[in-house]
Amino acid sequence: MALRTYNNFINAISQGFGNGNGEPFWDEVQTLTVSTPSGSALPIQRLGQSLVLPALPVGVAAYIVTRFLTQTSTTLISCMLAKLIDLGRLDFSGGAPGTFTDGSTMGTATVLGTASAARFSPVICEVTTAMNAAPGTFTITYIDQAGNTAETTAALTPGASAPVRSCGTVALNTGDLGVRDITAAATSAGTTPSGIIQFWGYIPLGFTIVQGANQGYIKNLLTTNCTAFRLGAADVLGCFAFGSTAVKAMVGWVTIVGEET
Amino acid sequence: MGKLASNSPSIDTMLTNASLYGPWVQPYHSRGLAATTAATTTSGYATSTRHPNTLAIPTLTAPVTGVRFTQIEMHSDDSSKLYVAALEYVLGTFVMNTSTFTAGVTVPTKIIRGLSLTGAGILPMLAYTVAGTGTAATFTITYTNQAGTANHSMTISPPTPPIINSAFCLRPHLATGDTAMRAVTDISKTGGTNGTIIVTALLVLQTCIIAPGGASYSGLDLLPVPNIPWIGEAGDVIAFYAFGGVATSDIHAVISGVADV
Repeated sequence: MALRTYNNFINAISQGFGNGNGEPFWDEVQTLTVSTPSGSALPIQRLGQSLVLPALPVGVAAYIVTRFLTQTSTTLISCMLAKLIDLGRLDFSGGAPGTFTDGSTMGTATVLGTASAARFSPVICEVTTAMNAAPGTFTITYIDQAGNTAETTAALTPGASAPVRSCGTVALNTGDLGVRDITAAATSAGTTPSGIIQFWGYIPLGFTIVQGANQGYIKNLLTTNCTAFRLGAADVLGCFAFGSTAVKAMVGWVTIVGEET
Repeated sequence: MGKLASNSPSIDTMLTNASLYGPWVQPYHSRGLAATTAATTTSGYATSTRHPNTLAIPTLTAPVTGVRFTQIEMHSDDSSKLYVAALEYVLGTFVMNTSTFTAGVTVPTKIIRGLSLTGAGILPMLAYTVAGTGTAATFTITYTNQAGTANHSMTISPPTPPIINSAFCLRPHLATGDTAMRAVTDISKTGGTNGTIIVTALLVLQTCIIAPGGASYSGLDLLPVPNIPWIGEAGDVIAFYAFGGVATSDIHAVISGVADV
Protein backbone atom coordinates (compact mmCIF):
# COMPACT_ATOMS: atom_id res chain seq x y z
CA MET A 1 0.00 0.00 0.00
CA ALA A 2 1.35 3.38 -0.98
CA LEU A 3 1.80 5.70 1.98
CA ARG A 4 -0.34 8.67 1.01
CA THR A 5 -2.15 9.61 4.20
CA TYR A 6 -1.26 9.95 7.87
CA ASN A 7 -3.41 6.91 8.61
CA ASN A 8 -1.50 4.95 5.97
CA PHE A 9 1.66 5.54 7.98
CA ILE A 10 -0.02 4.55 11.26
CA ASN A 11 -1.33 1.38 9.66
CA ALA A 12 2.07 0.54 8.20
CA ILE A 13 3.74 0.97 11.59
CA SER A 14 1.11 -1.15 13.30
CA GLN A 15 1.73 -3.87 10.74
CA GLY A 16 5.43 -3.95 11.47
CA PHE A 17 6.80 -1.77 8.68
CA GLY A 18 8.47 0.65 11.08
CA ASN A 19 11.91 0.33 12.63
CA GLY A 20 10.74 0.38 16.20
CA ASN A 21 12.25 3.03 18.41
CA GLY A 22 14.47 4.20 15.61
CA GLU A 23 17.92 3.78 14.18
CA PRO A 24 20.50 5.20 16.60
CA PHE A 25 22.44 8.16 15.30
CA TRP A 26 25.06 8.85 17.94
CA ASP A 27 28.38 10.57 17.64
CA GLU A 28 30.93 12.84 19.25
CA VAL A 29 33.44 15.40 18.01
CA GLN A 30 36.57 15.37 20.15
CA THR A 31 38.65 18.01 18.38
CA LEU A 32 37.80 21.59 17.47
CA THR A 33 37.20 21.63 13.74
CA VAL A 34 38.40 24.20 11.20
CA SER A 35 36.23 25.54 8.38
CA THR A 36 37.31 23.85 5.15
CA PRO A 37 37.43 25.49 2.74
CA SER A 38 37.80 28.84 4.42
CA GLY A 39 35.63 31.81 3.54
CA SER A 40 32.29 30.50 4.70
CA ALA A 41 31.04 32.45 7.70
CA LEU A 42 28.60 29.71 8.73
CA PRO A 43 30.51 26.93 10.50
CA ILE A 44 29.61 23.40 9.43
CA GLN A 45 30.74 20.23 11.09
CA ARG A 46 30.16 16.56 10.38
CA LEU A 47 28.26 15.11 13.30
CA GLY A 48 26.78 11.63 13.31
CA GLN A 49 27.99 8.53 11.59
CA SER A 50 26.84 7.58 8.11
CA LEU A 51 23.85 5.31 8.08
CA VAL A 52 23.73 3.14 4.97
CA LEU A 53 20.23 1.87 4.40
CA PRO A 54 20.02 -1.90 4.05
CA ALA A 55 18.52 -3.88 1.19
CA LEU A 56 14.78 -3.41 0.91
CA PRO A 57 12.98 -6.24 2.68
CA VAL A 58 10.64 -8.37 0.62
CA GLY A 59 7.43 -6.46 0.07
CA VAL A 60 8.96 -3.04 0.72
CA ALA A 61 9.38 -0.56 -2.14
CA ALA A 62 10.96 2.38 -0.34
CA TYR A 63 12.01 3.76 3.02
CA ILE A 64 10.54 7.01 4.37
CA VAL A 65 12.07 8.88 7.31
CA THR A 66 9.23 10.00 9.56
CA ARG A 67 11.02 11.37 12.62
CA PHE A 68 14.40 12.82 13.50
CA LEU A 69 15.51 13.33 17.09
CA THR A 70 18.72 14.87 18.42
CA GLN A 71 20.19 15.93 21.72
CA THR A 72 23.58 17.61 21.71
CA SER A 73 25.90 19.15 24.27
CA THR A 74 26.33 22.44 22.37
CA THR A 75 23.98 25.39 22.22
CA LEU A 76 22.70 27.38 19.27
CA ILE A 77 23.21 24.93 16.48
CA SER A 78 20.97 23.15 14.05
CA CYS A 79 21.45 19.60 12.90
CA MET A 80 20.60 18.60 9.35
CA LEU A 81 19.68 15.04 8.49
CA ALA A 82 20.23 14.49 4.80
CA LYS A 83 20.57 11.93 2.09
CA LEU A 84 24.22 12.26 1.13
CA ILE A 85 25.48 11.88 -2.42
CA ASP A 86 29.15 11.05 -2.87
CA LEU A 87 30.35 13.48 -5.54
CA GLY A 88 34.00 12.45 -5.21
CA ARG A 89 37.04 12.99 -3.04
CA LEU A 90 40.43 14.60 -3.37
CA ASP A 91 43.63 13.22 -1.87
CA PHE A 92 46.26 15.93 -1.30
CA SER A 93 49.13 13.55 -0.59
CA GLY A 94 51.89 13.35 -3.17
CA GLY A 95 51.59 17.00 -4.14
CA ALA A 96 49.83 18.74 -7.01
CA PRO A 97 47.52 17.91 -8.68
CA GLY A 98 46.55 15.38 -6.03
CA THR A 99 44.35 12.39 -6.76
CA PHE A 100 40.68 12.89 -7.53
CA THR A 101 38.39 9.90 -7.23
CA ASP A 102 35.10 10.53 -8.97
CA GLY A 103 31.84 9.72 -7.26
CA SER A 104 28.29 9.74 -8.55
CA THR A 105 26.07 12.53 -9.82
CA MET A 106 23.15 14.20 -8.05
CA GLY A 107 20.90 12.15 -10.31
CA THR A 108 17.35 12.80 -11.38
CA ALA A 109 13.95 12.43 -9.79
CA THR A 110 10.31 13.18 -10.37
CA VAL A 111 9.77 16.67 -9.00
CA LEU A 112 6.37 18.39 -9.03
CA GLY A 113 5.13 16.16 -11.82
CA THR A 114 8.21 16.46 -13.99
CA ALA A 115 9.94 13.14 -14.57
CA SER A 116 13.74 12.95 -14.62
CA ALA A 117 14.29 16.44 -13.27
CA ALA A 118 18.00 17.00 -12.68
CA ARG A 119 18.91 17.57 -9.06
CA PHE A 120 21.54 20.04 -7.91
CA SER A 121 23.06 20.85 -4.55
CA PRO A 122 25.58 23.08 -2.86
CA VAL A 123 28.77 21.16 -2.14
CA ILE A 124 29.82 20.40 1.41
CA CYS A 125 33.49 19.49 1.88
CA GLU A 126 34.34 17.10 4.71
CA VAL A 127 37.86 16.41 5.85
CA THR A 128 38.04 12.63 6.17
CA THR A 129 41.82 12.47 6.65
CA ALA A 130 43.39 15.36 8.54
CA MET A 131 45.05 18.09 6.50
CA ASN A 132 48.67 18.96 7.12
CA ALA A 133 49.87 22.40 8.16
CA ALA A 134 50.34 23.73 4.62
CA PRO A 135 48.02 21.82 2.30
CA GLY A 136 47.98 24.49 -0.41
CA THR A 137 44.79 25.13 -2.35
CA PHE A 138 42.40 23.21 -4.57
CA THR A 139 39.79 23.73 -7.26
CA ILE A 140 36.85 21.69 -8.39
CA THR A 141 35.36 21.43 -11.87
CA TYR A 142 31.64 20.90 -11.97
CA ILE A 143 28.41 20.88 -13.95
CA ASP A 144 26.20 23.63 -12.62
CA GLN A 145 22.47 23.64 -11.88
CA ALA A 146 21.62 24.48 -15.48
CA GLY A 147 23.81 21.80 -17.01
CA ASN A 148 26.71 24.06 -17.97
CA THR A 149 29.84 21.94 -18.02
CA ALA A 150 33.46 22.62 -17.19
CA GLU A 151 32.84 25.28 -14.60
CA THR A 152 35.93 25.57 -12.42
CA THR A 153 36.00 27.32 -9.09
CA ALA A 154 38.54 29.86 -7.98
CA ALA A 155 41.22 28.49 -5.66
CA LEU A 156 39.80 27.15 -2.40
CA THR A 157 41.84 26.99 0.79
CA PRO A 158 41.56 24.08 3.24
CA GLY A 159 42.03 24.88 6.88
CA ALA A 160 45.61 24.38 8.00
CA SER A 161 45.86 21.18 10.03
CA ALA A 162 42.09 20.80 9.79
CA PRO A 163 41.07 17.65 11.66
CA VAL A 164 38.57 15.12 10.43
CA ARG A 165 34.93 16.29 10.53
CA SER A 166 35.98 19.80 9.50
CA CYS A 167 33.55 21.02 6.87
CA GLY A 168 32.58 23.98 4.74
CA THR A 169 30.79 24.81 1.55
CA VAL A 170 32.41 25.44 -1.80
CA ALA A 171 32.27 28.95 -3.26
CA LEU A 172 30.88 28.31 -6.73
CA ASN A 173 31.14 30.72 -9.63
CA THR A 174 29.00 33.84 -9.61
CA GLY A 175 25.35 33.03 -10.08
CA ASP A 176 25.71 29.30 -9.54
CA LEU A 177 23.37 27.72 -7.02
CA GLY A 178 24.73 24.22 -6.95
CA VAL A 179 26.21 21.34 -8.89
CA ARG A 180 24.76 18.39 -10.74
CA ASP A 181 28.13 16.68 -10.70
CA ILE A 182 31.80 17.19 -9.90
CA THR A 183 33.93 16.01 -12.79
CA ALA A 184 37.42 16.90 -11.57
CA ALA A 185 39.34 18.38 -8.66
CA ALA A 186 42.98 19.26 -8.29
CA THR A 187 45.38 20.57 -5.68
CA SER A 188 47.98 23.28 -6.03
CA ALA A 189 51.07 24.33 -4.10
CA GLY A 190 51.42 23.56 -0.41
CA THR A 191 54.31 22.07 1.51
CA THR A 192 54.35 18.27 1.44
CA PRO A 193 50.56 18.43 1.43
CA SER A 194 48.44 15.66 2.84
CA GLY A 195 44.85 15.03 3.77
CA ILE A 196 41.66 13.93 2.04
CA ILE A 197 38.53 15.99 1.38
CA GLN A 198 35.23 14.30 0.60
CA PHE A 199 32.74 16.22 -1.55
CA TRP A 200 29.08 15.75 -0.61
CA GLY A 201 25.92 16.71 -2.41
CA TYR A 202 22.83 16.42 -0.25
CA ILE A 203 19.07 16.30 -0.10
CA PRO A 204 17.94 17.58 3.31
CA LEU A 205 15.33 15.48 5.09
CA GLY A 206 14.92 17.47 8.28
CA PHE A 207 16.47 19.83 10.81
CA THR A 208 16.52 19.91 14.56
CA ILE A 209 17.35 23.01 16.57
CA VAL A 210 19.44 23.13 19.73
CA GLN A 211 18.86 26.35 21.64
CA GLY A 212 20.28 25.32 25.00
CA ALA A 213 22.99 22.90 26.04
CA ASN A 214 21.76 19.31 26.31
CA GLN A 215 18.36 20.15 24.94
CA GLY A 216 16.62 17.56 22.86
CA TYR A 217 14.53 18.25 19.80
CA ILE A 218 12.13 15.95 18.01
CA LYS A 219 10.97 16.62 14.48
CA ASN A 220 7.88 14.90 13.12
CA LEU A 221 8.65 15.10 9.43
CA LEU A 222 5.18 13.99 8.35
CA THR A 223 3.48 17.04 9.83
CA THR A 224 6.22 19.62 9.27
CA ASN A 225 7.75 18.88 5.88
CA CYS A 226 5.10 16.58 4.38
CA THR A 227 7.51 15.60 1.64
CA ALA A 228 7.70 11.90 2.63
CA PHE A 229 10.94 11.63 0.71
CA ARG A 230 11.43 8.12 -0.70
CA LEU A 231 14.77 6.44 -0.04
CA GLY A 232 16.18 3.19 -1.35
CA ALA A 233 18.67 0.49 -0.52
CA ALA A 234 22.26 1.69 -0.09
CA ASP A 235 21.19 5.32 0.24
CA VAL A 236 23.42 7.08 2.77
CA LEU A 237 21.98 9.19 5.58
CA GLY A 238 24.27 11.63 7.34
CA CYS A 239 24.12 14.61 9.65
CA PHE A 240 25.84 17.98 9.70
CA ALA A 241 25.82 20.54 12.50
CA PHE A 242 25.47 24.18 11.43
CA GLY A 243 26.70 26.98 13.66
CA SER A 244 29.57 25.46 15.62
CA THR A 245 33.07 24.05 15.35
CA ALA A 246 33.24 23.10 19.03
CA VAL A 247 33.68 19.66 20.49
CA LYS A 248 30.35 18.07 21.19
CA ALA A 249 28.37 14.90 21.51
CA MET A 250 25.09 13.99 19.87
CA VAL A 251 22.52 11.39 20.72
CA GLY A 252 19.83 10.84 18.16
CA TRP A 253 17.46 8.51 16.40
CA VAL A 254 16.00 8.26 12.96
CA THR A 255 12.62 6.60 12.61
CA ILE A 256 11.90 4.97 9.28
CA VAL A 257 8.78 3.40 7.80
CA GLY A 258 8.77 0.99 4.90
CA GLU A 259 6.36 1.55 2.02
CA GLU A 260 4.78 -1.63 0.74
CA THR A 261 5.15 -2.59 -2.86
CA MET B 1 -2.90 34.56 -13.21
CA GLY B 2 -1.46 33.36 -9.98
CA LYS B 3 -3.18 31.77 -7.09
CA LEU B 4 -2.86 31.49 -3.38
CA ALA B 5 -4.26 28.07 -2.65
CA SER B 6 -6.55 25.69 -4.43
CA ASN B 7 -7.11 22.12 -3.40
CA SER B 8 -7.79 21.11 0.16
CA PRO B 9 -4.68 21.98 2.15
CA SER B 10 -4.71 19.00 4.48
CA ILE B 11 -1.79 16.94 5.69
CA ASP B 12 -3.17 13.97 3.78
CA THR B 13 -3.46 15.96 0.57
CA MET B 14 0.13 17.06 0.85
CA LEU B 15 1.38 13.55 1.64
CA THR B 16 -0.62 12.23 -1.30
CA ASN B 17 0.70 14.84 -3.69
CA ALA B 18 4.25 14.19 -2.51
CA SER B 19 3.74 10.55 -3.38
CA LEU B 20 2.02 11.11 -6.72
CA TYR B 21 4.03 13.99 -8.17
CA GLY B 22 7.30 14.05 -6.24
CA PRO B 23 8.27 16.64 -3.63
CA TRP B 24 10.60 19.59 -4.19
CA VAL B 25 13.41 19.55 -1.65
CA GLN B 26 16.11 22.07 -2.51
CA PRO B 27 19.08 23.22 -0.42
CA TYR B 28 20.47 26.71 -0.91
CA HIS B 29 23.61 28.36 0.43
CA SER B 30 24.66 31.97 -0.07
CA ARG B 31 28.14 32.60 1.26
CA GLY B 32 30.84 35.18 1.41
CA LEU B 33 28.83 38.36 0.85
CA ALA B 34 30.57 41.57 1.80
CA ALA B 35 29.07 43.70 4.53
CA THR B 36 26.39 46.02 3.20
CA THR B 37 25.43 49.61 4.01
CA ALA B 38 23.28 50.57 6.98
CA ALA B 39 20.05 52.43 6.41
CA THR B 40 19.59 56.00 7.61
CA THR B 41 16.65 58.28 8.31
CA THR B 42 16.38 59.15 4.63
CA SER B 43 16.34 55.50 3.61
CA GLY B 44 13.96 54.29 6.24
CA TYR B 45 16.13 52.80 8.99
CA ALA B 46 15.33 49.23 7.95
CA THR B 47 18.83 47.96 7.27
CA SER B 48 18.71 44.99 4.94
CA THR B 49 20.81 42.74 2.74
CA ARG B 50 19.50 41.03 -0.38
CA HIS B 51 21.25 37.77 -1.16
CA PRO B 52 21.78 37.94 -4.92
CA ASN B 53 21.27 34.30 -5.85
CA THR B 54 17.60 33.46 -6.30
CA LEU B 55 15.95 30.07 -6.67
CA ALA B 56 13.57 29.53 -9.58
CA ILE B 57 10.49 27.39 -9.17
CA PRO B 58 11.17 24.11 -11.02
CA THR B 59 9.31 23.11 -14.15
CA LEU B 60 5.71 22.18 -13.32
CA THR B 61 4.12 19.41 -15.34
CA ALA B 62 0.33 18.97 -15.57
CA PRO B 63 -1.75 18.42 -13.59
CA VAL B 64 0.63 20.23 -11.24
CA THR B 65 0.03 23.97 -11.35
CA GLY B 66 2.05 25.15 -8.39
CA VAL B 67 4.13 24.32 -5.37
CA ARG B 68 2.83 24.59 -1.83
CA PHE B 69 5.65 25.39 0.58
CA THR B 70 5.43 23.03 3.52
CA GLN B 71 8.66 24.07 5.19
CA ILE B 72 11.37 26.66 4.64
CA GLU B 73 14.28 26.51 7.04
CA MET B 74 17.02 29.12 7.26
CA HIS B 75 20.28 29.07 9.18
CA SER B 76 22.96 31.69 9.61
CA ASP B 77 26.15 32.41 11.46
CA ASP B 78 24.72 35.79 12.33
CA SER B 79 22.84 36.96 15.40
CA SER B 80 19.91 39.21 16.17
CA LYS B 81 18.55 39.41 12.64
CA LEU B 82 15.37 38.63 10.82
CA TYR B 83 15.70 36.47 7.73
CA VAL B 84 13.00 36.44 5.10
CA ALA B 85 12.36 34.03 2.25
CA ALA B 86 9.91 35.44 -0.26
CA LEU B 87 8.53 35.21 -3.74
CA GLU B 88 10.27 38.12 -5.39
CA TYR B 89 9.03 40.15 -8.34
CA VAL B 90 11.42 42.64 -9.93
CA LEU B 91 9.20 45.59 -10.82
CA GLY B 92 11.89 47.73 -12.41
CA THR B 93 15.62 48.26 -12.94
CA PHE B 94 17.48 51.56 -13.04
CA VAL B 95 21.05 52.04 -14.30
CA MET B 96 22.36 55.20 -12.71
CA ASN B 97 25.16 56.28 -15.04
CA THR B 98 22.81 56.38 -18.04
CA SER B 99 19.60 57.05 -16.10
CA THR B 100 18.06 54.12 -17.95
CA PHE B 101 14.86 52.67 -16.54
CA THR B 102 13.62 49.24 -17.60
CA ALA B 103 10.20 48.15 -16.48
CA GLY B 104 9.89 44.73 -14.89
CA VAL B 105 6.89 42.57 -14.15
CA THR B 106 3.59 43.40 -12.52
CA VAL B 107 2.88 41.47 -9.35
CA PRO B 108 0.52 38.66 -10.38
CA THR B 109 -2.96 38.35 -8.96
CA LYS B 110 -3.24 35.50 -6.48
CA ILE B 111 -6.36 33.49 -5.81
CA ILE B 112 -7.48 31.78 -2.65
CA ARG B 113 -10.49 29.51 -2.80
CA GLY B 114 -11.79 31.27 -5.85
CA LEU B 115 -11.33 34.76 -4.49
CA SER B 116 -9.00 36.96 -6.45
CA LEU B 117 -6.64 38.95 -4.28
CA THR B 118 -5.05 42.17 -5.36
CA GLY B 119 -1.69 41.49 -6.84
CA ALA B 120 0.62 43.68 -4.86
CA GLY B 121 3.85 43.01 -3.11
CA ILE B 122 3.43 42.99 0.63
CA LEU B 123 6.94 44.30 1.08
CA PRO B 124 8.41 46.65 -1.56
CA MET B 125 12.20 46.89 -1.50
CA LEU B 126 15.03 48.71 -3.27
CA ALA B 127 18.31 46.81 -3.71
CA TYR B 128 21.66 47.64 -5.25
CA THR B 129 22.79 45.01 -7.77
CA VAL B 130 25.78 47.18 -8.70
CA ALA B 131 27.37 49.32 -5.99
CA GLY B 132 26.59 53.01 -6.03
CA THR B 133 29.22 55.71 -6.41
CA GLY B 134 29.31 59.48 -6.26
CA THR B 135 27.27 61.75 -4.08
CA ALA B 136 24.14 60.60 -2.31
CA ALA B 137 21.36 59.83 -4.78
CA THR B 138 17.68 60.55 -4.42
CA PHE B 139 15.41 58.28 -6.42
CA THR B 140 11.89 59.17 -7.50
CA ILE B 141 9.83 56.06 -8.17
CA THR B 142 6.54 56.22 -10.02
CA TYR B 143 4.32 53.25 -9.29
CA THR B 144 0.90 51.70 -9.34
CA ASN B 145 -0.37 51.24 -5.81
CA GLN B 146 -2.10 48.31 -4.15
CA ALA B 147 -5.50 49.41 -5.45
CA GLY B 148 -4.34 49.69 -9.03
CA THR B 149 -4.09 53.47 -9.06
CA ALA B 150 -1.25 54.51 -11.36
CA ASN B 151 1.20 57.41 -11.25
CA HIS B 152 1.73 57.60 -7.52
CA SER B 153 5.26 58.61 -6.64
CA MET B 154 7.69 58.41 -3.78
CA THR B 155 11.28 59.38 -3.09
CA ILE B 156 14.07 57.68 -1.20
CA SER B 157 17.66 58.72 -0.51
CA PRO B 158 19.90 55.76 0.30
CA PRO B 159 23.08 56.43 2.23
CA THR B 160 26.28 56.76 0.27
CA PRO B 161 28.19 54.88 -0.91
CA PRO B 162 25.74 51.97 -1.01
CA ILE B 163 27.56 48.67 -1.28
CA ILE B 164 26.29 45.96 -3.61
CA ASN B 165 23.42 43.91 -2.13
CA SER B 166 22.42 46.71 0.25
CA ALA B 167 18.63 46.85 0.40
CA PHE B 168 16.13 49.35 1.78
CA CYS B 169 12.47 49.02 2.56
CA LEU B 170 10.26 51.30 0.49
CA ARG B 171 7.07 50.93 2.44
CA PRO B 172 7.65 53.90 4.80
CA HIS B 173 8.24 56.11 1.76
CA LEU B 174 5.08 55.30 -0.19
CA ALA B 175 2.53 58.04 -0.79
CA THR B 176 0.09 58.65 2.04
CA GLY B 177 -2.45 55.85 2.22
CA ASP B 178 -0.48 53.46 0.06
CA THR B 179 0.61 50.14 1.47
CA ALA B 180 2.13 48.28 -1.46
CA MET B 181 3.15 48.32 -5.12
CA ARG B 182 1.70 46.45 -8.06
CA ALA B 183 4.06 47.85 -10.67
CA VAL B 184 6.74 50.46 -11.27
CA THR B 185 6.41 52.67 -14.34
CA ASP B 186 9.40 54.98 -13.95
CA ILE B 187 12.49 55.64 -11.87
CA SER B 188 14.59 58.80 -12.03
CA LYS B 189 17.34 60.23 -9.87
CA THR B 190 19.26 63.24 -8.74
CA GLY B 191 22.82 62.91 -7.46
CA GLY B 192 24.89 59.76 -7.53
CA THR B 193 27.05 58.55 -10.40
CA ASN B 194 27.22 54.83 -11.04
CA GLY B 195 25.30 51.88 -9.74
CA THR B 196 22.26 49.79 -10.58
CA ILE B 197 19.17 49.41 -8.46
CA ILE B 198 16.16 47.14 -8.67
CA VAL B 199 12.77 47.69 -7.10
CA THR B 200 11.24 44.45 -5.92
CA ALA B 201 7.95 43.35 -4.42
CA LEU B 202 7.99 40.49 -1.93
CA LEU B 203 5.34 37.99 -0.97
CA VAL B 204 6.78 36.65 2.24
CA LEU B 205 6.88 32.87 2.55
CA GLN B 206 8.84 32.41 5.77
CA THR B 207 10.45 34.55 8.44
CA CYS B 208 13.18 33.36 10.72
CA ILE B 209 14.47 35.09 13.80
CA ILE B 210 18.17 34.54 14.41
CA ALA B 211 18.62 34.64 18.18
CA PRO B 212 20.99 37.00 19.98
CA GLY B 213 24.42 35.67 20.79
CA GLY B 214 25.14 34.01 17.50
CA ALA B 215 22.91 31.24 16.40
CA SER B 216 21.77 28.96 13.71
CA TYR B 217 18.03 28.80 13.76
CA SER B 218 15.50 27.46 11.33
CA GLY B 219 12.34 29.37 12.17
CA LEU B 220 8.89 28.12 13.05
CA ASP B 221 7.33 25.30 11.15
CA LEU B 222 5.20 26.74 8.41
CA LEU B 223 2.15 24.54 8.58
CA PRO B 224 0.98 25.27 12.16
CA VAL B 225 1.53 29.01 11.71
CA PRO B 226 -1.37 31.05 10.33
CA ASN B 227 0.70 32.55 7.56
CA ILE B 228 -0.52 33.23 4.05
CA PRO B 229 0.24 30.09 2.02
CA TRP B 230 1.44 31.73 -1.17
CA ILE B 231 1.70 29.18 -3.95
CA GLY B 232 4.80 29.25 -6.13
CA GLU B 233 4.04 29.12 -9.82
CA ALA B 234 5.90 28.88 -13.09
CA GLY B 235 8.24 31.83 -13.46
CA ASP B 236 8.29 32.67 -9.75
CA VAL B 237 11.60 32.97 -7.94
CA ILE B 238 12.46 32.78 -4.26
CA ALA B 239 14.78 35.42 -2.82
CA PHE B 240 16.37 35.77 0.60
CA TYR B 241 16.73 38.99 2.60
CA ALA B 242 18.31 39.66 5.98
CA PHE B 243 17.02 42.53 8.13
CA GLY B 244 18.64 44.20 11.10
CA GLY B 245 22.36 44.44 10.35
CA VAL B 246 25.02 44.94 7.73
CA ALA B 247 27.61 42.37 8.83
CA THR B 248 28.75 39.80 6.34
CA SER B 249 26.81 36.61 6.85
CA ASP B 250 25.96 33.35 5.18
CA ILE B 251 22.53 31.92 4.81
CA HIS B 252 21.80 28.25 4.42
CA ALA B 253 18.23 27.41 3.56
CA VAL B 254 16.15 24.44 2.55
CA ILE B 255 12.96 24.73 0.58
CA SER B 256 10.44 21.91 0.96
CA GLY B 257 7.29 21.86 -1.11
CA VAL B 258 4.67 19.59 -2.58
CA ALA B 259 2.57 19.78 -5.69
CA ASP B 260 -0.55 21.90 -5.87
CA VAL B 261 -2.95 20.62 -8.52
